[in-house]
Amino acid sequence: MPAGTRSNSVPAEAGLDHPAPTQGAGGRSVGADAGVFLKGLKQWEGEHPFMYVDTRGYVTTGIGHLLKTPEGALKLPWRHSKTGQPATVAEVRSTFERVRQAAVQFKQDHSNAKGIPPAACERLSDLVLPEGFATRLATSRLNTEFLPHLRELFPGFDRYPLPAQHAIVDMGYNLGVAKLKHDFPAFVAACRNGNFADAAKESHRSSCREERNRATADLFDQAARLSASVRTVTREIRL
Amino acid sequence: MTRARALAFALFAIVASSRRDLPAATSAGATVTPASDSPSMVSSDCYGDEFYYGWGRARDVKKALACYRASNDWMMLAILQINGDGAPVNITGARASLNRVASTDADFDALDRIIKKREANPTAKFRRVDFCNDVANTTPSVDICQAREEGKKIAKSDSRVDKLRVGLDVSARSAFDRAQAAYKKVAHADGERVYQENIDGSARSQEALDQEARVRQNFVVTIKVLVTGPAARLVGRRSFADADEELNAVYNETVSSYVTFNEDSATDADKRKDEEMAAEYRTRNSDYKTKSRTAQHEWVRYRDAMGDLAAARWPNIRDARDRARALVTEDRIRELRGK
Repeated sequence: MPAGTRSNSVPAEAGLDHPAPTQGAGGRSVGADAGVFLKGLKQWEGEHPFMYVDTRGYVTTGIGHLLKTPEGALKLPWRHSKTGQPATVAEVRSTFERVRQAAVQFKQDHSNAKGIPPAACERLSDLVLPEGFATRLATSRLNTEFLPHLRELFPGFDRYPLPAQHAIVDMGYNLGVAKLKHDFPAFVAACRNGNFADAAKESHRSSCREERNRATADLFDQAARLSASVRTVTREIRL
Repeated sequence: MTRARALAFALFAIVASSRRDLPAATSAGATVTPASDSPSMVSSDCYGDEFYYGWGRARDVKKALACYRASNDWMMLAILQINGDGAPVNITGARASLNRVASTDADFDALDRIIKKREANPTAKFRRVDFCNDVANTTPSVDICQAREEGKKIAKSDSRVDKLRVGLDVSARSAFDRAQAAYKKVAHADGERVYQENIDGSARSQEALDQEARVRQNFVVTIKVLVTGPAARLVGRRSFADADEELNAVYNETVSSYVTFNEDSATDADKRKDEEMAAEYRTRNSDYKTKSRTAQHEWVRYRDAMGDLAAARWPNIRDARDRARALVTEDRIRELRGK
């Protein structure tokens, strides 16, 4: 890790961080609503409205939302998919344990085949989150956890071209902001300098498949072109 | 089959038939599935991947096909239909299966593109489709595929390590066994530590897998030196004491940087009056400290077990134990740095 080393990463107050404005040339901060990022996140993170286990056996749901304990699961409004009836506390607890136990059993049965695919966990219970809830959950996490950190790391975030914002949110959600800050200093510096072409080059994640990396780099390239266009237009207006 | 598993799959049998009331599921899929592709009888506890990949049983693609269908695993069913596994190639059926997939994400898009190509060129010859190589793009799918690859590598390295044991004399074998057992524990504990370290990112499982792989690779290299190498190879670039001093500094830096980040985040959340997030960040710190301590305790046992093995292997070399501990400590410094 050393995740989030505040001393040896790019400090929040350093760098130029004055990219081209997203809308208009006024430079006014326009905070993007967290909801606009959800489509992209769902595309790459997947969305599973039931409880499943990750490859370490931890129960997860929605868009990569970790449920550390049964109490974490109880905070969510589980329903029976067939009847739409709310699940009882006992049902949520037993589903949580069943899914967790399935991972333990799977590991015993297949020592070298770690992890049950989410699709296989779906069969273990009919408890699901209401339609749209996984999205709301992820939106809430973006608002309370990711966006405050990203705005701290990239003070001009709300004025970045929207494609750059999308790409940064995808990287932050996937890697965690602490890792993004610590392990991608050249990327952070490029964004802060408004150099999205360089950000595209520095955005490669070893944890992602090439397709996702390419999509992220494409977003930054789009942002670079938008920035260049806005600068050109601004210059022409001034002339 | 255990009782828990039997219970789980018995429940599944009830649930599966009622799930997924998707519009596409009501007609299209059912009408385009040819008789040759119809499910054979499978028990309610079948698990498609076991049959398809031959995990712990003989590979049986027909049963895999039936299992995927019974469990509504439309993505895998479509792949088998494209490949002609268990039934003749059926691109129309694959399209119908894909249409039943509830979540249109990057996995869906990848398979959609594959099917489109085959629909456009029905007579062309295409290579087989593999879920992990050709479809998996979302974080959970990539995680599963990475875990499977890692599982294969673990099996391979376990086999190599077991072979090393054969060459040892009896007196060194118990030390070897202790070292191997200690490695398994430290690999798991350090995976847990790194999982917690990356708890805010969706790639946390993958980061943990990467860390376990680092620990495994270092173990395999070092134990090979201890078992097969001449004593001359048992020399690090510095003494055990010097390496240990750096390790302590790196460990403290690693833990404190994580703790500082979360403590600052908790303070920020306090300022926003977001009590829930403030508590969450403090819990993350507490969990991380616990997991770091556990991993480090396991590592110390592992380091000493490797030292004991070196001492058993070279009883005439006075500092064999410390030389081995220095090598393992150098590895640990790199592991903590994620390298």
